[in-house]
Amino acid sequence: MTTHASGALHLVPEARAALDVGALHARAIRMDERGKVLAHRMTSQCASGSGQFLENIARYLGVALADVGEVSLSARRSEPVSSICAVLAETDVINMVSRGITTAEILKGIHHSIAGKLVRLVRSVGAQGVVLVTGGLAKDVGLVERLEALINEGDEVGAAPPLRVVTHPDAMFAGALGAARLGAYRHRQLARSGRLPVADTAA
Amino acid sequence: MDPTNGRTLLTAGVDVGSSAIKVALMRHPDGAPAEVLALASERSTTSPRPATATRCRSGPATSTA
Repeated sequence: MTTHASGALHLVPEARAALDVGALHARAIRMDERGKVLAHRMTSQCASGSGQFLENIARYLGVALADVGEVSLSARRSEPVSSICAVLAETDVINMVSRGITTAEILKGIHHSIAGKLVRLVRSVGAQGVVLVTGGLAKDVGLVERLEALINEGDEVGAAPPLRVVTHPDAMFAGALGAARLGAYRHRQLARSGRLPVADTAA
Repeated sequence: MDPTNGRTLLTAGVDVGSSAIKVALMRHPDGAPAEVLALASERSTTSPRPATATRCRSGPATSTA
């Protein structure tokens, strides 16, 4: 959590929340301007909010993972998909294919379903301001578009400052960047306190 | 006394995810913003088509450190 918060701030300094959407889990992190984690929450065990679920569906539909976002964006409408359970959602998709629903509409429906879950996750940590989407699914333009569409849906005008969803070309590296940043911070901290091994303190 | 004063640190961050490993190499000049030197990722071999992406950078990156 700490590394993702730090990495998110490195990529987008004005971000005050990170939404990390990975292969198996998604997690929302609220942080301050220094990267201190103020609140965080992960998805439950159900896989319907994960990249692996989307990858399975894409494979079933015969769409390359890299094309999923663009195909989803090309849909005029989204076909409702179960947002409760990945198993039910996969059954939904099989039924949709047999009913002749287009691949684009199915993918948009899945993005809509996943985005709905992720928005609830972001809101559960009390996120405010800019939310940076990180993790592998940050590259999925279809999911990001649905997040942008749903993030402020249902809010009363003027009730609270709207959330803004952003992403970054290096968003999937947020965790690694944060770890590298914290490594340097920790090293300097140990050096100042005189607790570095002798070899590391030699000029 | 801080023995790292005036020294540049090089650090690598590794993010071991469930489907991909991501690595970031950074340079932290003393008193200057950190730079990203390289980013690399490799997807799990259980994936149908493992993909590797690596790139290096020369330009500075912004930092809040």
